Amino acid sequence: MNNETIQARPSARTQRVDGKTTASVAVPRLVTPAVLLVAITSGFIVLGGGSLELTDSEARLGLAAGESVGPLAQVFGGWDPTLAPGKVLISQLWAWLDGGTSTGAVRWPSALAAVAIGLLMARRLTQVLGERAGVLACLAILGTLGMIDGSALLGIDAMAGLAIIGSLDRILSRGSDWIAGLWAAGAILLGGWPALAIVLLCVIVIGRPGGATSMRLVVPPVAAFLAWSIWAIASTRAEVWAAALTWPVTQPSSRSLAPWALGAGLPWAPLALIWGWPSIRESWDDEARSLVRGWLQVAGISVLAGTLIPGLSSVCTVPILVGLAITASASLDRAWTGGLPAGPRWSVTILATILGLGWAGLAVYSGAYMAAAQPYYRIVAFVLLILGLGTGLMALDVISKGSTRGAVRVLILVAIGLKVAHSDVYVTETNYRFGKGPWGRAVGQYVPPRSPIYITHDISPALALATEHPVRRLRTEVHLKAEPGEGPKFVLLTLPEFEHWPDLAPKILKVRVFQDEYGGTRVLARTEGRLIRRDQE
Amino acid sequence: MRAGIALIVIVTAVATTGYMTSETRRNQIVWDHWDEVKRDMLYRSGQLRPEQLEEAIRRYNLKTVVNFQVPGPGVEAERALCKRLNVGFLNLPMPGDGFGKEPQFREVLAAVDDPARRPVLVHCARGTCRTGAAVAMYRYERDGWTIEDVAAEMNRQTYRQAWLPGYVYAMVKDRPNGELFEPQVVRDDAMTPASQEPPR
Repeated sequence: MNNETIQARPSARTQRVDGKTTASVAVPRLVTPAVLLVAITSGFIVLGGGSLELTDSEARLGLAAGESVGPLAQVFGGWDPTLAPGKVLISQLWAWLDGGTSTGAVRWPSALAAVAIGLLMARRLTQVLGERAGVLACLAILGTLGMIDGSALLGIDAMAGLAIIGSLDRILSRGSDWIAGLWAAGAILLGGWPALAIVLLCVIVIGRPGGATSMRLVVPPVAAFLAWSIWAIASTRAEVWAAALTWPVTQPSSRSLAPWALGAGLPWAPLALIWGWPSIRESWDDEARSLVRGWLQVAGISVLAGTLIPGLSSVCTVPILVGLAITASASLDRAWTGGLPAGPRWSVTILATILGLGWAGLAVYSGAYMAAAQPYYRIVAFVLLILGLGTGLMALDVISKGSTRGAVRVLILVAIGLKVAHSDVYVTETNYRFGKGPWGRAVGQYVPPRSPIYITHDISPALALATEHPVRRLRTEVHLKAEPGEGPKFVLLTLPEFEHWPDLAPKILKVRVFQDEYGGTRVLARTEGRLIRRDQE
Repeated sequence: MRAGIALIVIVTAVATTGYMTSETRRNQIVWDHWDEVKRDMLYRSGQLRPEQLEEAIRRYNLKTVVNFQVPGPGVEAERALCKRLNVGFLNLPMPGDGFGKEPQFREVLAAVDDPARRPVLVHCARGTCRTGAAVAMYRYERDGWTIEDVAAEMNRQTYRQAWLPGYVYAMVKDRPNGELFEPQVVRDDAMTPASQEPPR
């Protein structure tokens, strides 16, 4: 780590008692790399990591977390081949420890996987380029818009990403050994075959001696796949297993993957450009050059694969983001030491100034507006205003001096501003405007604890999760008769479904009519019978 | 040079914020406490200026305006404006703290329920207490929201006291089944004085 930032020097202080004695007082070394890593991981990821409500695709994982353990996810009482089995198992474990499924069963494992990615790469860069580069790598990975948000909306699949990154990191540094193979097995369980495909594509294209495909790399994922397949076919049907395998190819490739991933990598990803200056790379030893070039290749391969091959885009954002972050952080580490020629030095400062001033403009404008017009956001608005002003001023200072260290400080301020705006404005506003929580809890409070809610058509998975009850889809209304359990059974219907409830189905009574968020009508009904009171359960 | 730039930026930012705050207080920049409760059904706000209300009626195709303020020149002017624009007007005067009567809140529900009378705008002076209470009633009776979620929404709309969500909840007819969810009476035998415990 750089002396100026983390190594405190003994300072000479005059003792005030006699006014003459000068003693050397050792200042404790408080800002160590470990402290910085804890601050980065907790500040950017752990703080507010479970607050953002789930999108519908994420909520399917939340619903599966509340079901029994199996080789495939179960959603609405049926098999769901779209969810990777390893991810479901981890969410189930979280839900079990947490006493029930919720948003946290999806968000927290993902957040912890993101932290693990940051620490893993920090460790690698520390070994190759030193402590400062390690801290910068962690910052450039976790202090990005994509990792701060952590949601599927920006294409972040941190759990599959962790397995891919773990495998590629091992291959690029130590070769295709058994540990790389175990990571690859994790990739296939956490991200399906697309995750393994990305690993193998990178291995084949990069094609390093010792890093090529080998038995040690291939056997663990193949064994994991076979074991899972046997379990899946024995527990379900071959069609379900086949659906899980073929589902990814039904997904389109993503032509907008590159700009999305670059956006998710803000504010650090654009700084990867400075790797192009030879004077940046020349100071590194062969190992460092090889490491950075390898991760840049990973980013490039992931962009191409996700853009061109159907089914792969869902797992490509994290490798792209990490590849660019490693390149940017290693280059910034070189820039920090100074002595760069004018070209790379001005590249760093101009890029940082553009990002800093862009963010400052947005933060000052929106901060001033919110401070004036949105009383609910007044405090955070002032924080954003101050941060925005500070960032803007520092950016102007950086461009006037051509200071590369100042450029890094500007980027850190932008990242902090993004985190504040995300957690205190974006999350709050998104949950309020688009969250299904109040609508689901509204229904759930009318149903006895632990009783399932039956549906006859698909509803929003986020709404179903928010009811805090198991939700089961019936093939037909008549099948309600065959559902297990004593006491009345609750069904959530649309108004026409309730009005045209078939005579052959069990008779139902209206419990409550709800308006939905669009002005439509939902009806909660139940079959006849005596309700069981809590104290009689 | 740098100090000069810093000074200019800070002075500009402070002046801009001050100007915007001042203009906002006069409802010049934003419509006071305007928000959408449910699109094409129910909107809420503080007191809008006549031209703002006219713009809101035009933009959101409002059919009914509900004003919770005590009758006076302002209310009469708004009534005349609504009449001129052929929009229904409802005056339900209640105390500024939002503790209105149940029939008043049910008038709002009746307006929102009637397709010919919605979208409805409910507003008072600041759009926090009286308006918040009316929206709370709508959330309970029509959307079925829990008391915690209604309180959270009121808090988000800058209602800082704790009374209104519970006050309005007491008027709600359609609540979760009491037989299921009423708290049990728990007698704590440990409170019995030791001297009265039967000898073992």
